[in-house]
Amino acid sequence: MTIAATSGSALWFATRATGVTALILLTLTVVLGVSNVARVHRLPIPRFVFDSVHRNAALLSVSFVALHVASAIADGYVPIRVADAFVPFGAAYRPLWLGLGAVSLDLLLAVIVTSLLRRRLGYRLWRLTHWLAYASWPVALLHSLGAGSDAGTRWMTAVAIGCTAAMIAAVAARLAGSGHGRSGPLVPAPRGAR
Amino acid sequence: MPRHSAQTRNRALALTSRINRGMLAGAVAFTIAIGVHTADGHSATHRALSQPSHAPATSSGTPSGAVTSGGS
Repeated sequence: MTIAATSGSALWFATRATGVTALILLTLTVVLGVSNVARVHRLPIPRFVFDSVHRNAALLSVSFVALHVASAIADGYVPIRVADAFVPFGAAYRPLWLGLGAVSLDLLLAVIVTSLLRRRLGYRLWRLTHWLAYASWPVALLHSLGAGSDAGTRWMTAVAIGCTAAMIAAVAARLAGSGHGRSGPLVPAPRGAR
Repeated sequence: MPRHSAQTRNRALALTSRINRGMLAGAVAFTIAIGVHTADGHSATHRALSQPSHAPATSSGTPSGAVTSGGS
């Protein structure tokens, strides 16, 4: 039976699976954020629906990244320390690709923390740091393709292509929306400003 | 910013709740599916590599058709 035969590798399979899921959730998060600023509120759906799903997708993405990191460290098959998850390019195992994962996680954490502290930081600073999300996504994709054991498989290739296509479509919609003379905040304004 | 009626707002809240629950369920289900899929592939590789006496060997000694790269 598969589970019995591979129980010793269960954490490794969990690492791989949670990593792919985290990438998809991060893609969904960024796509929703970009779509929101592309003025999807022209649709007959209140804007807070997009805000809420965007926020929950981000938190779910971080949760899966946490599971991804925890299972990789606990697995012990390759030497990965807790510090390697946060400090880039210091790992003994695939330092470049794991370092990209650390960079992506740091950027994502910066976005999450500043979003949670948005009212204290002010809109302008929050908006600047929120742009880090754009950098976090391609770095995470590179980490997946470089460090992931499944990078050569058809399904992982399909996931990577699908995520990239979704991002391109969202950015294109955003650029098309801004090209129609719609100006204003690039991200949802804080409640106090509405 | 467009204003919505209370009814529209309530429907939107219900929609939001359904989407968020579906996203969580989908993420968990997808993770389990990928985990099982990779475990199956890993198990199949080991099964293929564990029958050298019957499988025709290549010049490198690897059983024909066995996957020797990738995985963990």
